[in-house]
Amino acid sequence: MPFDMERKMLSAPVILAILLLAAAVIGEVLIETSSHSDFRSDILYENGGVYCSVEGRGSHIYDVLVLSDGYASPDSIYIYYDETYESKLDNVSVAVGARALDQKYYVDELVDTLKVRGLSSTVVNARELGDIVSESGNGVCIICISGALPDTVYDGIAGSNIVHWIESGGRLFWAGNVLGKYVSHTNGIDEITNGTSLFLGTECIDDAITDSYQRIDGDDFGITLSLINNQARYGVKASDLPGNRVHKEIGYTDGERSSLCIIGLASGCIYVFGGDYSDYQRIDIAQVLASGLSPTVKLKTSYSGSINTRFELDTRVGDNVYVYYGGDLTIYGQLHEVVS
Amino acid sequence: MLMVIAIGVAIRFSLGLLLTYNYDVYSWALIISNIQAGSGLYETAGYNYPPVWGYFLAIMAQFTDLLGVDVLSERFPELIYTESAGNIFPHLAYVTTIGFNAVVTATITVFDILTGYVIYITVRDVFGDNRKALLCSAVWMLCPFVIVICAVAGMFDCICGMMTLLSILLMIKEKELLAGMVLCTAVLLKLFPAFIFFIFIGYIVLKHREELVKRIGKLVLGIVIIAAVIMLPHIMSGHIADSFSFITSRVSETDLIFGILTQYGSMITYIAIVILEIALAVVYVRKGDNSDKTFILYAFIGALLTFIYPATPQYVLFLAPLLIVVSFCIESQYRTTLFILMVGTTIFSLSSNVVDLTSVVMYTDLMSFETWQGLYSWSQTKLFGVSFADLISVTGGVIQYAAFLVAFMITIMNFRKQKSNVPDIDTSAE
Repeated sequence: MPFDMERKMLSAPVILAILLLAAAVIGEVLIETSSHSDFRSDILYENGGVYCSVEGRGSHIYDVLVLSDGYASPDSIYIYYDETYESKLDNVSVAVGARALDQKYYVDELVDTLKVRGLSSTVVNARELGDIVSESGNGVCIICISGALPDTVYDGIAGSNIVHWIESGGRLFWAGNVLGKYVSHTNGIDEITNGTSLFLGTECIDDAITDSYQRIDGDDFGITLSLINNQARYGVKASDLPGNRVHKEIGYTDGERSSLCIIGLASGCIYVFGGDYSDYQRIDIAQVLASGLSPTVKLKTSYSGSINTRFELDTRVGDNVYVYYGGDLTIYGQLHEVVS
Repeated sequence: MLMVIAIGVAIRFSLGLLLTYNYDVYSWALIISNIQAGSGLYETAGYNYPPVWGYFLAIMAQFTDLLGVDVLSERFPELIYTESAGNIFPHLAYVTTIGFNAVVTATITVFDILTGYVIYITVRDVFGDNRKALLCSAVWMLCPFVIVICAVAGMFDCICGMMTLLSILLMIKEKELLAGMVLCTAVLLKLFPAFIFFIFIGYIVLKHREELVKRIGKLVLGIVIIAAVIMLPHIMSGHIADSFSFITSRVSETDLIFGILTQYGSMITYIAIVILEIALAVVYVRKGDNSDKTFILYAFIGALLTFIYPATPQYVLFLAPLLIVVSFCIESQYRTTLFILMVGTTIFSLSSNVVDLTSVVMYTDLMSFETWQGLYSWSQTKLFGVSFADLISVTGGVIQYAAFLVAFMITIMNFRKQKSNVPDIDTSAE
């Protein structure tokens, strides 16, 4: 074999090795440089019309929801987590090889999942939570996934600070166990009789494990918002709610309980998510918070297609427009207000 | 050879577009979405491996973007009942689209072709037999379990096998720095190649004793450099433990006693395998044979030892390139193992059967949902506590493990022959 041909042949594995290593490094750079800012959406006011612009890197679908009577983006989002206080949670199984889904991990993931939807959040402990609920709840969201409220905000009796806070306009996002049933302390947990009634007016939540595969009749949001959690354990039995409580059931039902129920309480509201911990539940919490759903929200119209386009919206001042990309695997979300 | 590649590619695409194991392929869609959302590999759930496969997925995502695959997977409410914990084979209501399945199949097919090429140049350069090189390459491209794991399961273990063989070839070509880099990359893809590191050291001791420190230094330097480059972002973000959850979190919390046995049993077994690998390296060095063929043989035996612990079918692809080279060029008795694996591993990797049809059912008119539902119900039906899906899985798994037992027996017999000074390498394979 000629010497120069042999040299070329000898270099084939070297070339292949370099290409493979380069591919790995390129992939690493691609990951490190990907961010929320790769995507954007805008509401444009031109020629007397309102337009939506959906832009971003790559090929993705968009969904745009025009909502009336929803919430604007919150001023503050707090996620309660305090390892010095007891929680009341059931362990969940995860896929083989996956990290255990404990409360700390869930909270860390939730922070990131909210960021994907353009929202920043703060993790607070029990004392800080107590300070927050002593002020007006207007424009503030609290997410509690500990299964038990700490004694700094709730003491199992009527008139607890957390209830007043919700009534003043606060929005409580709840998951993990029966709402109001448990008060946690640094050294234990107390079970409260009829605790749920303090929030919802009746004992309409239990811990039964059921199959919940049916979509809720008349629900506009489960599909249009790509809500994916179908678990109804700890979900609200809406038919047991007092007649004067405005509420909205969304997602799935086992015939009695719903995977999500939004219940009004004076100027605020409570979001009760069904199920034990799951990635689906976490994603739904973020999606519902980001889209500003309220107990009285209405879906006026929705649009979908492929990004990097613009189109006119059928909307008016005061509406909210929630834009998200990726469908059931959401990669971007942003809430806009129609202001002129 | 081009004809073989063409046939191999055609079979992969035909199968891959009809059957897709959504449970794993959906994971790739989820991870790509997490990457695109700016969440990286480990900020949110979905990615449970060391980082290198994630890096390749990031490149795959560029192709989904380029090709206009704007929907990777959708969640179908009518499939949610299949997620019930009581069902055999975890399934998801998320179904990957035909377009995404095609991109996954194409990506892994490219790696299959590269693996075939690495097998070809290894046999050609080390054994000097072009005809055998083509044969070994063809065996890989047309091997049924390689095709199924590529096309149906969408698993990436062929890359691990390819990089392991490539690192061995680079050692033979005295490119220790690059060999270390490729070996480390293979380890940070799936951890199994780490077990044969001691054989690499043994090869340097035997072949380059006069430059021992320099060459081991280059090998280790290559490993350290690439480990730093690949792992640095995860060290800085505090996710280094997450990148090794593949080995630290191997049991479900609800498995109770079986889970405890699995967890501690696997830990003890892998510690034993490490000890055996060191012992194997000592035997290798003491044998005193510094030929490249013997290096490949001992690397193969080192890789084989990792299968003492029963493996899922895709892990076989880590061993398969070495197995093909060894069984066709060094020790023909191992062909028995290869042929048994062709039966067992293929059956094992098709045991999810009916659930592999969901992409076709939900996105095409080739099969109605009602027909699929009927098939799914039937596959879940148990007779004397055993379902059809269980039966296929257990049958495939038993046959697969039997193949490894045969390989262990061949290896032990050959070692015994060595001890009694009977030639231990079957030259009839050459």
